[in-house]
Amino acid sequence: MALAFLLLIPILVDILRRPTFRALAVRNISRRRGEALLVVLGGLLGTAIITASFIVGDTITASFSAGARTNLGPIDHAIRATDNAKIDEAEKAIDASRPEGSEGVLRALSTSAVVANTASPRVAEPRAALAEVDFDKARALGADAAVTGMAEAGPTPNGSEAVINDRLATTLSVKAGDPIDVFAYGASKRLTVRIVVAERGIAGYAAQREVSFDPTPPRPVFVAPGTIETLRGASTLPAAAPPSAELLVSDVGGVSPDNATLTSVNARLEALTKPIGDVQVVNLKADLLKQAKATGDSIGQLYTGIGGFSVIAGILLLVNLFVMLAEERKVELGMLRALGFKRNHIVRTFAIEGAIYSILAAFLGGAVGVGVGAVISRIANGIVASDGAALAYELAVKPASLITGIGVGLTISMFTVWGTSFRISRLNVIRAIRDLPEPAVRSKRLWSAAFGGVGVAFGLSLLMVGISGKSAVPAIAGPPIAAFSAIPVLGWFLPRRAVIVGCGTVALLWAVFVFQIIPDVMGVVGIESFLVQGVALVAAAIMILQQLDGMWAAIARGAARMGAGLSARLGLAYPLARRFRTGMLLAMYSLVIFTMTFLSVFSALLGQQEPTITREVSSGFDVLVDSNPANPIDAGELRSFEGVGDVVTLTQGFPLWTTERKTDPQPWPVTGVDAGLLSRNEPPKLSKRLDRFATDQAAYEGVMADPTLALVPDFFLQGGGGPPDDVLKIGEKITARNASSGELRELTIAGLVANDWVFNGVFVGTDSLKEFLGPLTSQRRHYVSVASGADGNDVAGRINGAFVENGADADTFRAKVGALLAQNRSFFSLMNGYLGLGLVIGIAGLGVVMVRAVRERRRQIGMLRAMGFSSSTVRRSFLLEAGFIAFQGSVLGIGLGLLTSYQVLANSDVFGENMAFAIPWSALGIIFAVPFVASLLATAAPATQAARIKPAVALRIAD
Amino acid sequence: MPSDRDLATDSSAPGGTPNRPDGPPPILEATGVRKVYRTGTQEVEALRGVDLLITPGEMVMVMGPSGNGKTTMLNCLSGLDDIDGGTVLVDGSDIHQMSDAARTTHRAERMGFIFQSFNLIPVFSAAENCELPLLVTGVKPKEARERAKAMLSQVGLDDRFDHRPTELSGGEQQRVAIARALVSQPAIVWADEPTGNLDSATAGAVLQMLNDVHGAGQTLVIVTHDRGIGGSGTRLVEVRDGLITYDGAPSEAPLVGAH
Repeated sequence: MALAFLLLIPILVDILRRPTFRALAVRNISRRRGEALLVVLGGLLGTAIITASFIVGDTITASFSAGARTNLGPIDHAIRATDNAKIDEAEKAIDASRPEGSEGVLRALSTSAVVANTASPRVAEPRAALAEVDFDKARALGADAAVTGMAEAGPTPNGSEAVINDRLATTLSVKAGDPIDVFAYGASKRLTVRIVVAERGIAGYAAQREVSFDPTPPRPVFVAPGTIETLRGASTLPAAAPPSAELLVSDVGGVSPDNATLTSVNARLEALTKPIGDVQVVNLKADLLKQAKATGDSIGQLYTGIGGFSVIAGILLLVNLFVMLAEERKVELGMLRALGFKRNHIVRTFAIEGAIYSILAAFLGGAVGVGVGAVISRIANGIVASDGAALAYELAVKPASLITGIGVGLTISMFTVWGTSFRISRLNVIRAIRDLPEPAVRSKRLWSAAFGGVGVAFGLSLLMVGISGKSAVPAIAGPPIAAFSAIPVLGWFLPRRAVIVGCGTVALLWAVFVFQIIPDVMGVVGIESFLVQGVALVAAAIMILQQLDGMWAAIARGAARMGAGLSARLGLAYPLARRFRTGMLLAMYSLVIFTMTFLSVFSALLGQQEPTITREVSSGFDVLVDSNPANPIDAGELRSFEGVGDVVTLTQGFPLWTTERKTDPQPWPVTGVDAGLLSRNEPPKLSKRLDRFATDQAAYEGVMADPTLALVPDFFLQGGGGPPDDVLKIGEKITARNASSGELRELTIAGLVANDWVFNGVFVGTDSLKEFLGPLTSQRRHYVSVASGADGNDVAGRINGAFVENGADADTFRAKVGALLAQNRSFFSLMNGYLGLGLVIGIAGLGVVMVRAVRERRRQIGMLRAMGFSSSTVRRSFLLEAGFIAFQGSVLGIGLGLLTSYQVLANSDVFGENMAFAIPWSALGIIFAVPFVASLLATAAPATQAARIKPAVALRIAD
Repeated sequence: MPSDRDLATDSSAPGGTPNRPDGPPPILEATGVRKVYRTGTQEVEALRGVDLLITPGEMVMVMGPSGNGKTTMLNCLSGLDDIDGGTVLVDGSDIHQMSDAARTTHRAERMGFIFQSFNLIPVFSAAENCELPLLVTGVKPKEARERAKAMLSQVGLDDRFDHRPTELSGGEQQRVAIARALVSQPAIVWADEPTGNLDSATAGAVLQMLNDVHGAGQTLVIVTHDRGIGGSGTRLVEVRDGLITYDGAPSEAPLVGAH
């Protein structure tokens, strides 16, 4: 914003002190109101896209943060231990020396459970948690009872009473007074709901709420003290995880303590409990807020990157409009110069006019951006919040984001305005007054060659920096910058056309093959790399294309032979002659369509991957059965279930992980590899493995045998969307930490799992996993093969019905993979929808350019009509012109998009999987047809206007 | 005192009328042509009843002060603009009774135009500009190109076929415009201030070219305010206040004589 103001200051001074400049600018705006509106619209869309990206990020950050604050309420820290006796010790230690900044401690005991209503058929919530807390102490935690969610909860439950929150009540369709059954440790107990409270604070908290990737945290069921122990005493599953006691600590500052307080209290709690040993202090709220911000920033950046293509389209539109505006007023500008206006006066007059457009566009764009952000957030929420997930994106608009969005939009517009104003001011007075075209012959200028030389050096330096620092953006951008800059230098010695084609080809080839040429640098790339690649590709391709006059002349002749005749000739002649303008329009289309094509290829490939991915993740089994860890389905019972052939039970756990580059411990699942999983000789596919393992099966067997090895999924520890932000390599070390004991275990990556779509996480040997995590492991996951002749979907459905009490969640691997693929494809569609805004810019831009072209060519149209060109020929020529640009831009964008996606697929693991390239014909058909038809529609009005021009009127005005 | 209408149709108008009933059949016959321009609530009668006969082979110079209706008369008689009264017969057909499409076709086949500011299509080369009138009447592209080149050669532009207007001088551009007007062998060539944008030497050359064209039998109607040029035709028509106030031999015209 500050930069925008800097650019505006000289303009504001002129507005105040130079009434002539001001009057000229303002009157020119009011003279052509309709077109002024279109210029504002062009700038507005760019700002809207930028602002919307920020708003989406804000909304996601705020939603996660609000969720963290609401669901945690006064809870800021959790103190956990495997041994509950150590929690008692910790409580005593804290009571004896309450850390400064904390204002309450609450002890809670909880265990995972299934809760179901008693209706028929039963509805169960497989992810519930039985919790025992003292309600009076719970209300007293923190300074405000209201934020605990327990203010109206009454006394601590007694006997068979239960208190649940409103979300769980809705899931189970129960209300106060209704019976519910809870299942844990293979035992059950019928309870009566005494009261339903809001899902807030302690009433919304359940252990493991902080597990980032889990959108459905366990729902707490508050029960009478001793209930958990009673169920455990009647346990038929002695191996089930024991209940976990924890201390919940609240800091001063209500639901939003400041970061310093959270950090210092956490440090003091760690110091206090360290002597006890095997006690973990979790900085719950700080971690969640940090994670919320990281997720919001990551998704916001993704949208900013994708939106970048549309923003560039907006910039190109503004440049085009201003240049056309200047051409239209050439005579006036020439007269002003003749009357004594200096070049800087022309610049300043234009800058005032542009600033007025820019300011209007920026502020309106900010408002529109909020709307676009709201729509995207709503759609995104619809995609992720399926199946009752807790996420609900509520629109959040941070003033800082809005100001930044407007500021960035305004700055871009102002740079464009100043740049084009300088270009406009360089007119020849006589030629301008006589309205004569600029000479086509360009003189060789020493300064441009010198500037080009600097550009070449700069481009090559960027390449060096990119390669040495393994940074993709400078590495991609360097050679094209050098190649483009070389044009004025080589132009001194060689024919200009050959130089342009040659340099353009170098830049194009580099952008296409960069993944192949420097694979090490392109291993880890973000969305900004694709943006730079797209810009380089499109710029180079358009440069080359514009030199191919002969080809286009042949096309025009061909069109003439096909009956398009004079219309085609006229329609092609103007865009071919107006290279700058056509280049801008082509770039607007190509850039956006390039990205849409790229996304569509991956979206379509995902759709076709269902059988492949299913085969790669299922290990030869048909149905995946998950159940509640505290009440898991017994493998023996499952094996004897009708339609079930074979069952393999997996051992899983949830340690904290760090890598060399990600030193902040994050939870991620780990699964044990045993003979059962490998029994079909089809273990989950690996994309890479250590050389010493000849096959994937051998790698899994190696991991099973060696406790220092692990197989890691390619999306390990990644949050947010987009390509992986850190691709691990085989041979690298990762460290697991037992969340309770704090024990660390360093593992070497023996292979990368290609598609961890069922979220097994890291694979290690089952024995070493049990030894490492002990009671923190569970046997809640079963791989089931159906008996011969049985249908997987049918078996899965019946398992869900029969094992309600265990919280059964069974589905075929194919259905699971299909659902996730559908979700991913929905995101691609959303991204494409977002990019569609860029196409609106392109189409609107083409329409505006055609409106201006009609005015600009009025005299020529008059002459053509005088010579006997029919009005329909004139109309058709405009439509053909627009169609030609839209066609060329679309074909270019689609071609480059296909080429790039093929290169990325064939030569890079940037998207994690080795997918086979295929062309999504139907999606490409839509990407081509919609903007093409829309462009023709946008041109229909100016084309008709051109056809209606009366020759005498046009010529009378001219002569 | 005779009315304006009477004056315009009066064969005894100064200079007398050369529209003789016993001469060759007229190529154009305008009767009582009226043209009114409307701007908001204001109406300006630019032509107040113009009668004119043009016979083949004539070189008619139209003169008069600026803003008195010369260009309007050219536009209305050539069919470029609509009229508000009267008739214009070209080869016996009333061009203002034709549909727009028919009149456009008629223009393509029977008329050629030259304007002060050349009005070449900037994105086409000289040859491409020149062949446009042929292409629009359905001449095959190859033949059109050959005829266009031949015509450009006639006006002395043998070495300029592939040059675009921006690469030509003003005089060369006007010669391309003349070639374009003549290439389809129109019945009448209308020229509106054809030398207005040219220096005197180039203007003289262009005028000589038009004279040569006329010498070859082409009918020309040239609007000019240059008395020197006005005196070079076979006939001079003076337009004042929307009426023809003189129609006769240039040598006898008071306006030219004054010059």
